Amino acid sequence: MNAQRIPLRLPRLPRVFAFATLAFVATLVIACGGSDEEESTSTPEAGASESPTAAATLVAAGDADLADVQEITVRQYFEPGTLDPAFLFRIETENIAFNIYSGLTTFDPVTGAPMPDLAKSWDISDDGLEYTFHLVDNAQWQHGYGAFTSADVVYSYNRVMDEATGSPYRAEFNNVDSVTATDDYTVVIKLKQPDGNFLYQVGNYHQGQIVNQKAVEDFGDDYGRNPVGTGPFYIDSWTPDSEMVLLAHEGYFRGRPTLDKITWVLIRDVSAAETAFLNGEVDVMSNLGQGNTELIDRVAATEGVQIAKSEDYATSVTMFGADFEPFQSRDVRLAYALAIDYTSIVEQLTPRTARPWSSILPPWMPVYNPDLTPYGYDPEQAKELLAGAGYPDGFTVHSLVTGVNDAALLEQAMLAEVGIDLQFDVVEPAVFNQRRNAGDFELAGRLYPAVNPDTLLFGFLHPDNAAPAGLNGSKYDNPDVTRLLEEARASLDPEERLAKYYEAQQLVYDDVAYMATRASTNLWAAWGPIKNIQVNRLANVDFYPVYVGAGS
Amino acid sequence: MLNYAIRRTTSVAPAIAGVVTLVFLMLRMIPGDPAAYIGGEGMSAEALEGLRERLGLNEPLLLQYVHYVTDLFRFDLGHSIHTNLPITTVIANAMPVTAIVAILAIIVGTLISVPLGAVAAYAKYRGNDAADSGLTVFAMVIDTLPSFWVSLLLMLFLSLQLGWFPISGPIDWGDPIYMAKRLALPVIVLGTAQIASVARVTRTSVLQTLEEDYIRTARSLGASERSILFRHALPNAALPIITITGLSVGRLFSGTVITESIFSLPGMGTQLINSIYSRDYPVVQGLILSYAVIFVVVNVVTDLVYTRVDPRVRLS
Repeated sequence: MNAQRIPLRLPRLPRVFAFATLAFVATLVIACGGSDEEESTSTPEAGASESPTAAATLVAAGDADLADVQEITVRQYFEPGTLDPAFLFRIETENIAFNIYSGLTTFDPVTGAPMPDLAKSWDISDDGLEYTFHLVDNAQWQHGYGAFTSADVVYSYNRVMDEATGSPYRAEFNNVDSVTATDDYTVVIKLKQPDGNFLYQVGNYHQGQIVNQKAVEDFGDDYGRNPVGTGPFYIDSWTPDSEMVLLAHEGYFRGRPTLDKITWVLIRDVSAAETAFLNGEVDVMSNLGQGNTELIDRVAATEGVQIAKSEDYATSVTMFGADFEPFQSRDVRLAYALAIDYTSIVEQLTPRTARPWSSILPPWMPVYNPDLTPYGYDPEQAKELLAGAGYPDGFTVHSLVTGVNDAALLEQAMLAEVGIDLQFDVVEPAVFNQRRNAGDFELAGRLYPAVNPDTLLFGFLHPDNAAPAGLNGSKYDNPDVTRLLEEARASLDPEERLAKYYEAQQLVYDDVAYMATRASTNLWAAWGPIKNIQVNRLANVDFYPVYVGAGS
Repeated sequence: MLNYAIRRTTSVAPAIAGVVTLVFLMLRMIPGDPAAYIGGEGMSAEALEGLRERLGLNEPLLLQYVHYVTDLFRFDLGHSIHTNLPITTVIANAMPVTAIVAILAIIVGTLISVPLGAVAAYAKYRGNDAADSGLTVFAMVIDTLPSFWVSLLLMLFLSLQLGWFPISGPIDWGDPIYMAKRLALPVIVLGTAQIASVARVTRTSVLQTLEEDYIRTARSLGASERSILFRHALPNAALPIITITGLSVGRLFSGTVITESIFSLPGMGTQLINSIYSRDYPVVQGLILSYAVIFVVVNVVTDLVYTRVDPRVRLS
């Protein structure tokens, strides 16, 4: 009776529709020249995730606007790893996967809200425990693997949940009781407890991406390099450490993409990538500048270059080591926060790519608590707090890092003012990941992009996810927060849910459990004719709506 | 001579065995877990254990070593942990790029440095100290330029300003003109890195030769100055030059590691860096083994070239 029936909405513009439609609504995320600071796209309002609206911000192409050659070259900055959704990770790999796979849902590039994908609509039972997904009936697998049906969904999700698979995302489906197909185009997922954010879990991301059983079995151990999806593009060739060629998937269920071919070329060196882009060897540059403000300004100021960005897409969080004696005290953690003028550091050093931030949730998430403000800069109070906590002369702390940048040096200098001696424990990425995941550090940073707020809240705050099990590197365990999070997730009333989320965030903030320092912006650059490059909340670009415009 | 080559190769077998063992142990001694790297962000402890199991990283070290060596004798270098490709494929893909760049760099370097050194020696011999110092200083300045900086400078002027050479793009041997342009800059960078050492040795060696009696004889017989320098002095000064060129192959390979990554060339250097980062043990082992073999081969070849250049040298 109360079941939500969500009508099919077209989140993107398939070619056929594009001709009929004149212009399309909305804020352009692509800002020409990058000179103007555009308005923040975040609108933290209650229950925004309840109604899947397409906040897509794209420009439609008429026939005459298309260039004859629909092929582009995109700079890849790191060699992608396995493309098996049960295992894949890291942004550059996820971006490829996002374009070759589909989920039951996908998410809005701006608001992050779940939207229809292979499921054209869904019903949720009154008790919030049963999700019935109605699937599209015209999706085709790439590489001739036939038609997509509900059996594929059942196989894919059970595969992730199967312990034998060894997927790191198995825990994402902990709350799933069963996945069954009632007919070829209907899937029913039963939950153990209600989850207001469940639609995120079956999105076009990691465990939510749907694979083909026959392809997985055909390729066996090599499946990760021979992925088969239902998305708009398929992998035609992949030369390790060099390039990857994606071609248009003719059988894509929303209609064939406009682009015929995307060539991803691997250029790891930032300066070489800049030259290749300005040289016109590369049409689209992913992950522009990697925080190098000068380079970003230089590229953005070049005539004919457009900058696309996902503002404040993810938060950087400082984690306090659980086994480091001084950080057991809340006053010491607060003193640490008060001793560093993050606002100045971020505004001076990385004005284009970050802004000062104080919540573990990024500003665009609907459930983020706007009452939280940065702890502020107050070295005198920091000294008093340290003295009160029994550290009048400060202490020495080692920060686990992969490199020391200007911001870290400024932090070091500011901490020295209050008597804290910050030392850098510089290690390679492989060691960094291992030690951070194991919780083996005194201080470590983490930037974790996500669309589901629970990924961050449960990840960082729930004792079940305490390192080494999950994201909770500080091994934070506050029973009140745990209860609030669990109640919020199970709540069917949007307002009640939001209130609980707010309260939990406030408690964490008061505890100084983690110290969020900045919200980062992900930038891409593209030459003028390339239209509709839009960076989503996971720093990925959906190439389905992208096309090469005629002229310049 | 064949006998010599065979004997020489067998005598270095212990050295190669040493390299293999050392690399195997060193890789496993440095901290960092390949499973943690492959497993990524949110991997649980149990899932990580499962992954280690699958990758064979849970076996005792000695057993891993025994497996590795027995496979080696069957010419099976194993599979990449990261991509699951056979190591032989990885090396077969990467080797031609590095080999061609390295060989061309040696040719370019030799073509510049040998005449440079010879002319400097001649200038010194004729008492023109200014010209000699000028050339020596030039070689030294070239020597002190870091190759990554030269790379970026060349990119800026020859690629971005003049648009002559692409600095990214695929490896496509079917299109020689494109490949010549694609490889030109890395070859220039690596070639110039060879100049200083080879020019210096050439200068010393030629200078010594120029003071030999038979040079005076040649001159008294009316040989032209050019012929004295390039026909009489240089060939007789060749042995040290060949030695230094052979030795500089080592330096060249370390140079390719940096240059390949800057110019996005999928050669052995790029592979090596990437696989060290991702703790892809089998790939690192396979690549180091290839480097060791290349060194041995280059050394043997250098020795064999001696006998061609100087009949007085007898290999026994």
